[in-house]
Amino acid sequence: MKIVIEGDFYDCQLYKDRLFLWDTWGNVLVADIRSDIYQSQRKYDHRMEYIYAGKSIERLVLGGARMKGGIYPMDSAFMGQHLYIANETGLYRRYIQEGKRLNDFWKGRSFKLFDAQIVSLDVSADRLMAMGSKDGVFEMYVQSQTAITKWRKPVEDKADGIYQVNRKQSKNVQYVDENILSTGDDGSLTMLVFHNKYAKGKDLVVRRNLERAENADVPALQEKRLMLTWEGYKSIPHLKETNEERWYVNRHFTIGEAIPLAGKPRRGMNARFGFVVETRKEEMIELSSGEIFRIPGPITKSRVLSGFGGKNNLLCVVLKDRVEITDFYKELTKKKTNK
Amino acid sequence: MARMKKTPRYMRQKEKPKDAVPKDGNKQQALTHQVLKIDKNGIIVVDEHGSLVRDQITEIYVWNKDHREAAKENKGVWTIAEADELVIFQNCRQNGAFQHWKNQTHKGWGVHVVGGTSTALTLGQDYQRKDVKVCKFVEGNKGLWHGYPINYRLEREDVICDTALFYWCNLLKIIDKSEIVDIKNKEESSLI
Repeated sequence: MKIVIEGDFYDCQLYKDRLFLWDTWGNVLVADIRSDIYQSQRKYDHRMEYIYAGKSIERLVLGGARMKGGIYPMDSAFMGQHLYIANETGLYRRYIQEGKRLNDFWKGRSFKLFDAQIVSLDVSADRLMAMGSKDGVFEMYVQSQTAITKWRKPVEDKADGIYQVNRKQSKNVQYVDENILSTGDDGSLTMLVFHNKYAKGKDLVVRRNLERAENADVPALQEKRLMLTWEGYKSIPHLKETNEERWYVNRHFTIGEAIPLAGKPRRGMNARFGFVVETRKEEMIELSSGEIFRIPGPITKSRVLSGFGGKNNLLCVVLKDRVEITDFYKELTKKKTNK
Repeated sequence: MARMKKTPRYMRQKEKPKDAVPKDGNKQQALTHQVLKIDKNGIIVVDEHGSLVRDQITEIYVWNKDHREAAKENKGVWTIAEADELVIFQNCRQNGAFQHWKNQTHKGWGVHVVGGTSTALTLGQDYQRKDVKVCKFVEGNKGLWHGYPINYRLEREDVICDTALFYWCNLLKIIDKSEIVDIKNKEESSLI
């Protein structure tokens, strides 16, 4: 399936099968594409293509609203019926309700949670949010009633449940199997390993820097076996099967062949269908089958979204004059048949 | 009889100079006036008719000598004319390319664009003596502005605000939409 929305947009998100589009004037538009995709009680068809241009976009859009937190937010995430927006001024939150009308969506007010120069956000399944900022790595736990380990002190009294995990500055932050991975401006790479049963209040186990990676310039590390460097995108084959904490201590990585990229990598994303690397000039996608294809053009933002089936199988790329959302449902089914 | 309380000295109003023009109902904008002379004691501002209007002025722009030819170390240097510097500041204030901070001084951001072109020209040099295309305006004391060229990649505090990026991207069209993320991440762009 492919959805193309023509227009001048900055960012795109998907929440409960509804599109949230950030235009370049600072408005957040809510578009309803659910009715088109599930047409007349038919099933979800991955072969279809939907192209919206001109007036057909106006038909889609339920309405728009302004959010606190600037015109061009650095990152945004949905968690627990809230839209979180990060910017250099701080972290903002707004309650979002599901509904047919515009007023149903924007009932709550947006307010600032705390001050920090936040660069990136990532959300785990267990209501945890990791924030990479110039002041270090923060972690927020939404259900603050449950126990949280004692050694981590809250940042502010007002903002309940926000904790500083690491004081090193970080640029990209991602959750990988209940662990936080973060990369800094200086090329350092930090991995924070937690127990899987986090909610029971167990302490943090290992906290070390992965500066011993062969290439010092590491903008993002996605999975334990994949690594991005300034030269290209590389794979680390033998780290896959290790499950102990010791797997990276005193150990040099053997890095595989580099796949060249056009320009510096901005960020990397891990999805079910494969691995995505974003640069300004192009978007490189390596599917799990091994195929590589690239989307050319100046790219403003790209996201891996989950929707229409619950799994993160959608890739959203915001280009100069349109937003492209492609479905990799085929790729997932291919994998199953091979087995 | 109850004694009248003396107003403390700092609350007493200063005597106005004789040349001062009486206040009008409409507020006069600061940028219509020119800064003619800067002394050690203060700033003397004269309007078109040659009379002092210091009381009515809310904002003053100063060409700071620290950022001119005899620049100090660790300070950016202008290489454009003083008149162009003022035009950049005017564009910054008129188009809202500045940032409000609660209980703090304000910051502004500017680029040098000539005529109807869509390319930013070099303004000056940063403190490492490299050519740059972005300048920063700072409100030192309240209402007293000065500016200097900066390299937005060097300093942590120099995060260009959204309103400035909006003005450069949508109206001046000197940067592309895809460059906004790079500028915020302090990566290379067409402005450096």
